[in-house]
Amino acid sequence: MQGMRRLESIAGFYKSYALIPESEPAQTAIVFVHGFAGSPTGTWLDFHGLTEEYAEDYPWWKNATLFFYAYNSTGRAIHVNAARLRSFLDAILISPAAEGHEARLAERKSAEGAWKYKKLLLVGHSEGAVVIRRMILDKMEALERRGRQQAEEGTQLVRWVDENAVGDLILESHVLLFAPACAGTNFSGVLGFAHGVSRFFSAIASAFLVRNELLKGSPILEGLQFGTESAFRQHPKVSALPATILFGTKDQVVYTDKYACDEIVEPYAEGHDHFSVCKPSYIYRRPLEFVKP
Amino acid sequence: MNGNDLDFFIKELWEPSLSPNTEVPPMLRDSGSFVISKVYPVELSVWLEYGADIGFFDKLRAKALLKDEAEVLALCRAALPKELQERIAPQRWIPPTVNERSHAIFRHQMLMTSELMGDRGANAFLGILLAYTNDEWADVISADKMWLGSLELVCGGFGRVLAHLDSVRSFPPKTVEDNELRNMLCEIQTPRLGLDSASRVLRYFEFAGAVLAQYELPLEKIDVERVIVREMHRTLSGWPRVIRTVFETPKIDAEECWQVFMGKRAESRSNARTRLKTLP
Repeated sequence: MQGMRRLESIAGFYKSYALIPESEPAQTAIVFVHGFAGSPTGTWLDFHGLTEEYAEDYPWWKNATLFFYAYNSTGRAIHVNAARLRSFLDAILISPAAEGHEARLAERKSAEGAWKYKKLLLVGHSEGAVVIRRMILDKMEALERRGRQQAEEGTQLVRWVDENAVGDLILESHVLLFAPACAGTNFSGVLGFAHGVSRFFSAIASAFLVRNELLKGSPILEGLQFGTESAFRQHPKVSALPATILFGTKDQVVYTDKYACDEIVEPYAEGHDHFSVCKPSYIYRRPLEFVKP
Repeated sequence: MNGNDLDFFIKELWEPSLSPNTEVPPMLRDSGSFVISKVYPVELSVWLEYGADIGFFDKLRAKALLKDEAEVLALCRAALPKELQERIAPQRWIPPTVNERSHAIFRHQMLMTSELMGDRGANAFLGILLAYTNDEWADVISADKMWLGSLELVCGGFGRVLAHLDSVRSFPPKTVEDNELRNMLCEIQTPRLGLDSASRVLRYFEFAGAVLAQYELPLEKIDVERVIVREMHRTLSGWPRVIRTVFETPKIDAEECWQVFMGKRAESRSNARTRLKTLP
């Protein structure tokens, strides 16, 4: 068993925390983003302990710092949460001592060499997947705007964006999604929620805005799909645009669908529902294998 | 063991519990603050002792912390009803064989607790659950009574509490020692969650019935009420416990839970016919 990681809270991000390996500096950052009415520890359950216990079987976990991000998933709009996730990533990934840090933050761009890690995995569950993808698309759109400001157009602009995406840890990240809500949720499917009875009551108490944003065909989800697929067609080398997805066979909460650029891994997680698909255990180690650089 | 974990505990759990909580809305201050400012600090002192016992926290620093805050903790303890004073106390225990897995279990339960107690709605629900008299409780769940609090906030908190119970219960113990440690850590939380009293446990079902009375369930409702009660019963009765003679483990009868749930649902519904909403 690998030694235990040490716990650290993240200044400015209430209830978010990091688990940092003994063997600093870690090469890989893995950021976990929970879903609707979830929480950083409750959603991912024992990723914390099992990645340490099975470090020999899954060696890529050894040299990774795990970040568990907390946000208001039931009361804030997707766009708001995406912007906040971006701030969180800036806070944890960019070295504050690096020269020009403030200027780069203002420009929303990070120079190569300023990143604290070499690899980044973004792992989302349900609504967390939507927040991650919105954040990535926002970043792509911002990059494109900057290209236009520099009078680039057409194929020149595409090339400029591709060149400037290189070396950006977030745009070069791998996106791994458990039961993403990207194709919409089925909130009226009461029975699906009833098996995750706590979420059922959270859904009742949540803001209508958030629930409506996550419904199939909502402008937020349609815009995100259209934008991501278009961006991928133009910039297929940006590795953060496509996602690898794992669904459980018993999911009754979200539509089991994907974007054109995504891959759903098979087999589906047999016997797992929307809430259990992302929780590794001694008898269900699939999540430990799935989250891999 | 490392010093950072104790620093985390102090920053994320200990200090917020000992500082006045301005997050609790005024109408809930009496109930919400009862849990966060009276019950929780006393409970956290037990966490600190157990964590030091198994070597998760630095023993000397933990002891010093307890000594520094002894006066405040004594005041918190004195403010608790007598039965809670007895129930929230370090039990005589022999720490299980300690290994890194024990530390992982402790860390996990501590993080879960920190997340739950950082939630305003969860504090509001637990405050009402523990501190309200039967009459006050009736005001919260009766659709025809005026109540100044926010049912929406409390309902969200209710969901968070159920999620917490379910996650803790689902956490996989590998060995007998793991299981024993997990149960001890659950036992510390039991009074705060109202799970050591049959009447408090039934309040969970009353609350669920009253909330669902406000909504029209869609066609698939044929099973949904039973599924909800069954899942809740499984979660609440499955809460890990250490069998001890000091406490009476409340008997949680599924049929009684169902009756309470449906009774409250029917009563609230007849009083709220004009306010029916559609489920999300």
